[in-house]
Amino acid sequence: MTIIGLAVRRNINPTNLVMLYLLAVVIIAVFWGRGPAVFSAVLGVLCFDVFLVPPYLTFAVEDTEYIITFISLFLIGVLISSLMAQLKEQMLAARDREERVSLLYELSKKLAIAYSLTDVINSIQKSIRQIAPYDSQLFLLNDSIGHMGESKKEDFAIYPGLDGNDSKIIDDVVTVCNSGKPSEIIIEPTLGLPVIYFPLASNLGNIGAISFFVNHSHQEINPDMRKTFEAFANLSALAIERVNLSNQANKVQLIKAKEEMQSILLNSVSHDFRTPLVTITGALSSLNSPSENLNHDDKQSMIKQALREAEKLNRLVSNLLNINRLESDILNIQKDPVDVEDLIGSTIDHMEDYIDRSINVTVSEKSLYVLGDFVFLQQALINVIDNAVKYSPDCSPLEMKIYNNKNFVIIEVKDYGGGIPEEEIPNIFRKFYRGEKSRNGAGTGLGLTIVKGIIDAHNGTVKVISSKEERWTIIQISLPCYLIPEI
Amino acid sequence: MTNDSGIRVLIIDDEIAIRRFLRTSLQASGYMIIEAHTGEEGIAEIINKRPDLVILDIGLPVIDGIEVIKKIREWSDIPILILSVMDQEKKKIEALDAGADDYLTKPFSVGELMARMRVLMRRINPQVIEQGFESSDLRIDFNTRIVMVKNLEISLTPTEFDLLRILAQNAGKVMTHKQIISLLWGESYQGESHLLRVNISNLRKKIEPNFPRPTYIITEPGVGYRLKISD
Repeated sequence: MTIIGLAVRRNINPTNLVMLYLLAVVIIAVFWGRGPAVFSAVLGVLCFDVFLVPPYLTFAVEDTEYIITFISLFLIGVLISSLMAQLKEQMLAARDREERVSLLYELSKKLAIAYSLTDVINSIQKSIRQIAPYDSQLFLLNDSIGHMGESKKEDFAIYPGLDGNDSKIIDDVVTVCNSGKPSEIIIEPTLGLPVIYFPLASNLGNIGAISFFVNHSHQEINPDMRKTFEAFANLSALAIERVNLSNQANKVQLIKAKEEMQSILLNSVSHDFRTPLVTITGALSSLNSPSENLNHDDKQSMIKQALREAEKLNRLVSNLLNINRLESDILNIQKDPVDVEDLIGSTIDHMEDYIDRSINVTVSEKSLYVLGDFVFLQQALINVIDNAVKYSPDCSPLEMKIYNNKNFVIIEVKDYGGGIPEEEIPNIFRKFYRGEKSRNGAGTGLGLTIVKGIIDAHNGTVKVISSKEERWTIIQISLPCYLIPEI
Repeated sequence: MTNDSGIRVLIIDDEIAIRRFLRTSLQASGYMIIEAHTGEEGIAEIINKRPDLVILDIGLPVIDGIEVIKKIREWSDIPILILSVMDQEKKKIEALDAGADDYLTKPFSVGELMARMRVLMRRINPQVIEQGFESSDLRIDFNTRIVMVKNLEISLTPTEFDLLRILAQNAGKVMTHKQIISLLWGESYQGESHLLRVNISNLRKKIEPNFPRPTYIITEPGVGYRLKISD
């Protein structure tokens, strides 16, 4: 700076040179900080004195006004450099803060969309690593719900896991958790580095703690860091609490839905139980009455009808049990080879006593086998046939076809009951769904739901194919073929 | 028609309604009825009253029905007919393997009950080893190994014949898959139930008039097979 000054001193008034010097000091303060700036202020004054103020090359000055200039130059230099340095520090601090705030914001965003407790914990762990230099730890009460009163060592789970010789750490965590206040900076013997613990507070008490590594050994952490850690802990606690509450709410909703379903079921069942009972009680009381004057054929017919209704009741009970098993997922399917023809023959044999219709069966040439539970498959078939009978006129034919298509055995039951409109088809397997034209009464609408459940459990599919113009409906069951090992 | 009078039947069932119903229907056919509410009582009555047949409800509350069967079988050959509920296939099979002779699924018809009782009763008096079996249009000679359906001789493989013979020697009575496999091929074949099914299928194709509608060989779903005796 002085060199330039020397060069131009002839041309520029010294006062203006002072400005240039000040500029230099400011620039130095901006880039190099307070220390160098002060130094250059001092140096600047001296140089100015020596080189640019007459008499040149001495420290003495002619004009005493220059002393004012010197002092001012010096003071302003120091002041500006101080200010600049402070400004720079503040800027750095602000950037630091901004970084931390943005981290907190990121964490907050992540936590807001975290779905499960595991997600929340993962987000917290990832963010912890960005905030504190080494892995900090999240400690959570096992049920992470929190309780008032003292928590004990055994209540804690740790993410990620620590090994057994960290009982001191757990002790510290327990202390913090129970006191609800952050700890001092502690050097944990097993880690060798200083940590500070912050509790996670929720409405129901403290649910855990986070330990943050501290990268210095001062006794106090700076207030900004403290605020950040606190905010972090609060965010985490809030998120965990939110997840827990949401889970609880879901559970409550599920219970409610279940109760509602059970209520519908109960209503449906009582109606469907009573209906066959009407016939049965009616028939028996009629036969019992002294004043009855039915002829033999009428009596036989009544008895037969009552027997049929009783079988319907029996089937209803089976269906109810199966729906319950399906819902609770305890359908215990035996996996044995099932001869499909055997299955069909046995089913029709069973049903012919109870339905007045004959079924026309077409089987394939070769024997077809599937892997599954004979009893359940039979129940599914009975429901399908029952359905076909219910939704078609008494005199209409019923057809059954069994064949194989590549690796699948196909069983089709066809009725001529008018067909099902295309919009209705997806609803058919829904619980409690009943077609509009339910002709022959009793049925909870569970039959086909159970069929789907059983066939699904056998890795098969059920489909409905219908034609309203030609007035038929086919229920098609598809099951994977079981290839008999060569004998 | 066998004379059923004088035959003593022990009913072990905790449900009074079922005991009452059985008593009424069976007494009408001349059976003498003894009742027991529990397995323990039942076993005591077998020793005291010496019945000819036991009807046991598998769903007994305190002492498990299966345990009762095992206990009885420790010292008695008495025919045991069990009453079970649908969807309890495992229990039925366990009971049959433990020594019960046949089963009925509740609700059942009295006709079916009596038919099965009569089949079991035939074993009370061990007869001369039967030479053959005859029912409706089916005729089997165990010695010559000739099988006739409607007077037409049917050609069976040795396995198919043995299978038919086993069913015929136990005609009217259910045989579990396990029992059949054990008699036909031996215990080591217990895992090969597909062999049994294939042979049943082939056998049916040869002797059943109305295949796939069964007339002789009836499938007991989940349990086994039974050769039907026509009335």
